[in-house]
Amino acid sequence: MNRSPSQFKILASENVADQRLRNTFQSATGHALGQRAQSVQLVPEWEDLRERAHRIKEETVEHLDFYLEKLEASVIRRGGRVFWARDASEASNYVVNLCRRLQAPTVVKSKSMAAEEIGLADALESGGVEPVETDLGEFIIQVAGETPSHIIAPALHMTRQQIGKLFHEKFGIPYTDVPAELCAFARQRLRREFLSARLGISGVNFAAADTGTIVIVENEGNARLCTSLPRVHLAIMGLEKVIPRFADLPLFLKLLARSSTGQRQTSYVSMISGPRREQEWDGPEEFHLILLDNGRSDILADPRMRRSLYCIRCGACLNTCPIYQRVGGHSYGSVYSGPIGSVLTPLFQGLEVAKDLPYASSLCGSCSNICPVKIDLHHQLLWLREKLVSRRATPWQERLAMSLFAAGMKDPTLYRMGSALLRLLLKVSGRGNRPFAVPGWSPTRDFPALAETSFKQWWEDNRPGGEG
Amino acid sequence: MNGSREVILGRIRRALLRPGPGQGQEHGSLNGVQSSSGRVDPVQLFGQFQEQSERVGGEPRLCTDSEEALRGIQDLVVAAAYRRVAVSNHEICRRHRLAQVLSDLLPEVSLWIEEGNSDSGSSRRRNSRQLAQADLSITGAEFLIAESGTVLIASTGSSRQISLLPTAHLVLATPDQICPDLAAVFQQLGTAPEEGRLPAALTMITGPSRTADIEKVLIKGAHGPVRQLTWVIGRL
Ligand code: SF4
Repeated sequence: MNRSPSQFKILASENVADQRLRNTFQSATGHALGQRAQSVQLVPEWEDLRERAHRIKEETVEHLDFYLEKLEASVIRRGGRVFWARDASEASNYVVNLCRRLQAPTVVKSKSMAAEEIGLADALESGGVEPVETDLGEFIIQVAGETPSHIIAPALHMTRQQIGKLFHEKFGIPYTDVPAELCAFARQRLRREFLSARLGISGVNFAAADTGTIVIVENEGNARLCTSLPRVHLAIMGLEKVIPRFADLPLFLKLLARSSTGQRQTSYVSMISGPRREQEWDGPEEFHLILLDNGRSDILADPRMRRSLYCIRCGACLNTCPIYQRVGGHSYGSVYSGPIGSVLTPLFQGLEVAKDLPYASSLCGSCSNICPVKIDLHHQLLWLREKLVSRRATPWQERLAMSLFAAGMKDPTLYRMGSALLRLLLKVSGRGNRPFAVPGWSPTRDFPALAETSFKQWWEDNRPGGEG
Repeated sequence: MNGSREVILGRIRRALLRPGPGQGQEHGSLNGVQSSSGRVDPVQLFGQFQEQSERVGGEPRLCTDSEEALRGIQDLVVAAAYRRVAVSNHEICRRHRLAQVLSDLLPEVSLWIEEGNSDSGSSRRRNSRQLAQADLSITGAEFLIAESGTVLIASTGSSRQISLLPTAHLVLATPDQICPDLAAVFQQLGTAPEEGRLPAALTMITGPSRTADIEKVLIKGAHGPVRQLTWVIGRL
């Protein structure tokens, strides 16, 4: 299912109309927020931790070249290989060629937003390799031919009955909608794949530059299987996933687990430094790390937007966003949804394609407040709007309205005339709160009821002490 | 190698308005989170570990000595009717002579011992298939973290798959391995682990494998062990 960010308005209105979907997102995000709040409450120094994480990310991003070279050197020292990929096709080609060399007909894959971003699964398929998604949620949506609707819970939009029916139809197993049974089926089926695959692909949550250690955070254990059993492990990360030191990990792990699921620690955290070593029992013989640019260096060039690269993909801003809660992840037409998606998608895919996303926000600032690395998300959205306006990419009606408004605000006489005219129009039309239809604007908005007199009039009549 | 390296680094430097390679600045304090020390009473530490581990569905236990632990394993295997048990070659398993004692205590159970160097690909694959059949595996910990009920294991101690493939995983530990929090563990690992000291894989385990991907319903045992047991052997 190919959705584009240019379709935001259409997709969002469809999804808002779907009562079941709305309930699903509302209750799931509410649940996640509750869990998060509980666990954050137990950390009195939380604000201090956010501040530190922000500063470490700032330091890293401001010296990104330095830390990436350091990371590269550390990974190589540990016997790993590093590949710098400018864009999606360079990264995908590298993986496909690796599969060819390994003669790997299938690869097992754990969750990676970067892989999702570049459409790695599709590229592998066209290269004749079968990518097997192993995260339960990803597995479900892969079988369904869907895309993820939440960073942390990709199959959030599906019901157990839909999943039961899907498994029944695709795999011929007896229908069940008991989540534990569905999960047990997936576990058993994917075990076979884990035991035979030659290549395992994982994402990266953090990469420590000083030790060359990549860190993967998960609950299911599929990332551990992907990185332990196959002969070769390939990890893919966006450039911004690097952090300066191994010793920074306790801080980031604490922030990530609590922000995303409210756990003190996820079930598993894997800290991997290169391939299996001499004296060790098992583990992959080769370790490859792809450093993916794919537009990140362009984002870096704007000092204000640069901060969006601090994101650790915790999903908290999605959960807290009143827009996301109502329109759901698919409305954004991109792998990144919610407030951070509304910032990143226009930057990755172009403002013209995603021009509605910066407006998919009430600017309430809830996202900025919750972000564990203190990205000022709602300011980022405002800046994107500013760019859109200065490129004259907004609709002409809006530009006309805004220039009339600007003219009126600058000139008292014009202002008085304008408001009198408006009041007259509203009265004459007899529809006080919806005087005229402005396509794309008025169907979803009401005018506040009109007061009897204008404020200016009221002030003149009621000013204490009268004139002077 | 690949040409995009220079292109990407060049773009980054241009974006950051820097003429040449940049220099990182080291921060004053190396450790982002300070360990909340002061809680070093071992009884309290174990208590906290136990509470947190149970909260996430783990099965922590204190065994005062080797004998109690071994009898505990016997009871565990009998109670759950486990047929196949895998024992790692971790130092703590050898110290308690698990392989020998268990084969005496549980003659009807098939024991699989991880030994030697499973170097070749084919023998490793064989091991994987064996371990995927196992009901229970027994390995050793490097650290326990009280704050979150977490166990830290290393790829130098046992294989990675022995703690991952079997249905239940029992990890053995000693009282002195319990640290108050993750920051304390990292202090022991060294704030800047010098080359070579870090194993290829350090793994933190907190409770059994789980998922909530179907309608947010929590399910234990997604891809990894369904049961995660942590037994501390010794007096506090
Ligand atoms: S922007 Fe902040 S809150 Fe949103 S996903 Fe990224 S780190 Fe989390």
